[in-house]
Amino acid sequence: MFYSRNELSQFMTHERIPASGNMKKYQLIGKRNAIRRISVNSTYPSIHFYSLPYEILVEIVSLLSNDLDDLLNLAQTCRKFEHLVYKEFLYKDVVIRDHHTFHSFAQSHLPSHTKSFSRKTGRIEPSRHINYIKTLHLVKPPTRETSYGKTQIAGSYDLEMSRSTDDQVVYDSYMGNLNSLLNECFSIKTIIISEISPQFSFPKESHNFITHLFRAKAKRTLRKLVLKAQSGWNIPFKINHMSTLASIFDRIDDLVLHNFVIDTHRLISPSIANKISINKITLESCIYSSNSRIASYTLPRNVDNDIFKDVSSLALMNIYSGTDLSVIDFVKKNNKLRNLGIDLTSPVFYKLCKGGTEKSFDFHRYNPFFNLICSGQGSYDKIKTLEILNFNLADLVPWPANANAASFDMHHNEELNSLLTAWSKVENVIIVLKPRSKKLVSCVKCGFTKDVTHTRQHDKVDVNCWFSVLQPLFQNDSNIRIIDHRGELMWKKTRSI
Amino acid sequence: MPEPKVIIISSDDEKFPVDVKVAEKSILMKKMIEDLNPDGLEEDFEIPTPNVRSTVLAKVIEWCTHHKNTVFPDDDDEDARKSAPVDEWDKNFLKVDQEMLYEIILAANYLNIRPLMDSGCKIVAEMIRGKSPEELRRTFNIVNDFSPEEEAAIRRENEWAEDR
Repeated sequence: MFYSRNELSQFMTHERIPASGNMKKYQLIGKRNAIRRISVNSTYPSIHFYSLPYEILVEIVSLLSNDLDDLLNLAQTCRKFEHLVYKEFLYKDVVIRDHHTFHSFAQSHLPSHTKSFSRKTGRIEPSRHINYIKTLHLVKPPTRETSYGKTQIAGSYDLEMSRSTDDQVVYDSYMGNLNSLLNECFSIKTIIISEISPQFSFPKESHNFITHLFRAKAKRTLRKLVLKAQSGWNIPFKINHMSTLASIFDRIDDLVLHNFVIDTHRLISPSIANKISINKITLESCIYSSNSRIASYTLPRNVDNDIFKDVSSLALMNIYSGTDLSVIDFVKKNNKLRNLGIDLTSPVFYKLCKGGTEKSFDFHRYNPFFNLICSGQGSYDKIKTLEILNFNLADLVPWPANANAASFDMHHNEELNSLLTAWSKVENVIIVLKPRSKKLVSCVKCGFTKDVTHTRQHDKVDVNCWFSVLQPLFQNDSNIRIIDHRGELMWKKTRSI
Repeated sequence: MPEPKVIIISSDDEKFPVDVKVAEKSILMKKMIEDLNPDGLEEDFEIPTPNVRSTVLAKVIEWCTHHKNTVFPDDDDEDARKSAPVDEWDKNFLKVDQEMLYEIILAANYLNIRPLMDSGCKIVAEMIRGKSPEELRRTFNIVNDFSPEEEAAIRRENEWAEDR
C-alpha cells in the first residue's frame, strides 16, 4: 500500500488510526522511514547508475570519501544517494575533533539537553541520521574548569596548567551533548576517545537528575571502548575516565587502553555508582604501578576492584618492563580471568646481544615467566587460553636467509623448545602471526607510492609445515590454532578426547 | 595435441574459447576450473555465464587477454587497490557509453575480476568528482525527489562534518 506525502505527514503528526485499528502513534512514527522508502517510485532502467547494486555503489562512493563536497553533492541529488552517503560515509564513523564541531553537530541532530521535558512530549526529536552512527571518535575531549590547575602525572611529575574561564561552559556543553547523543543513539558499537589530557575526566554524577531518577536504565552493551592518552604521556587510568559511559552502558565487551598507568591504588579506592561489566581488557603500552607501599598499609591484600571484576580476557600489547607483567596478577584476583594474550614483539622480551645492536629473545629471563603463567597451578589454574600475539619465528631464532620452515631444524634450539613446551601446558593455544612490515617506494616525480614488500621465507610457510616447526607445542595435547593477523585460520589441531 | 580451452558461454549462447590463463583472471572461473578439474584441464571446459551478454563478455575477455600477465596488488590490500591510478590502457578500454560501463562493472563483480571492477568504479567515481548536484543529475539522469527545503537542509545539517 502506498501513501502520498500528505497522508504520511498526517500519520507522523496525528494519531490517525489505520485499518487494523490497534496500531499506536509511536509505532507509526517508527514506520516513517520504511513507508517513505517504499513510496519513492523507481522508474529507472535495470542498467543505470541508480540501479547498480548497493555494494557496488558503496565501492564507487568510497573512492570519493575523502572529499566532503563530493559526498554532499551526491547526497543532494536524490533520497537514495542521500541515504547511502549518510549511512555508509558521513554518519558511520563520526569524528568530533573539538567542542565547536560537537556543538554544531548537536544543534543539527540532537534534542536540546536543557529541554528534556519537551522532548519527552514529542516536540523535539533527534535527527534520524544519528542512528547510522557505528563508531564515535572523540578527539581531545575538553577538561573541567579550575583557573589554575596542578596535575600530577604518573605520581611523579607536577604539571601546571592555565585555562580560560570559559572552560567550564565548554566542558558542560560537551558533556551534555555527549550524554544526549549516547542516550538517543542506539546504533553505536565503538567509542574511541583519543588525545585524553591528564586533567580529563567525566563528571562524577550524571547531569540530568530527573532523567536519572525516572528513567530505568536500559540494558546496553558497548562492543568496544578505546581510550588513548595524549601523545607523549602515560596518564593514570581513573574510574572517571568511564563514569558517564557507565551510566549509559551496562557492559563493555572490549576495553582498550593506550598509554595509561594502571595504578591499583587509584582503581581500588573510589567506586562508581553505576556498575559496569567489562569482558575483555587490552592494555597497549600501559604501565603497571602497584603502589605497593601504600597498598600494603592501607588496603586489604586480596581486595577486589569494581572495574575489573568481570574481566575474563586480558591482552598485553607493547609491554616495556617486567613490572608491567604484574598486571596479570592484579586482574586475576577477580577469579574470572580465563584468557591471556601476550604480545611477543614487546620490547620487554628482548635483550641486546653481546657487543652488538641486534636484539634477541631473552629466553633465560622469560621462559620461567611463561612456565609460571601456563603451569595451571595455584592461582593460574583458571587460565585456559593463551594467545600469543604478533608471533614471528624469525624474532625468536636466527633465521638464515635461505632457510624455509620445512628445512629449519628446531631440535637444536633447546630454549625455544622449552618456551613452546611451556605454552603447550595451557588448554588452548592461539598463535596470531605478526603482519608483514610494509616496504613502500614513492616515485620522485609524481609521488605515487607502491608497495614493494617482498614475502619473506617464513611467510611462505606451508600450513602443513607448522606441524614440524611447532612440534614441542604438541606434547601436552592442547587445542592449537594458528591464525594470521587478519584473523584467518591457517592451521589448527584439536585435542584428542 | 592442442592445449584444452575454456569455453565461456554468454547469456545469449555465444561461445568464447579462451586460454586457461585468460579465464583464470576471473576468480569465479578459476575456482570452477580447479574444483571440477582437480587433475588439471584435459579437454575443453565449458563455463556458462547466464548474467553476461555476449557484447559485454567480449569486452571482459578482451580485458582479461590484455592483462593475462599483469600482476595486480593484493586483493586484501584495500589501500593499495584504491590508491593505484587507473592504467592508461584501461582508461581507453573503458571509454564506452554509461550502460556498457555499468554492465562491465556488473560482469566483473559477478565473475570476480577485482582489478577490472576497481578500474570501472574509479572511472564512475571520476564522473562524479567535482560536479554540482544538478550536474550529477544531468550526467546520470537522476530524478530529483527532494523538495527545495530538503535539498538546502542537507548542506546545513552537515556543516559539522567540514572538520571531520
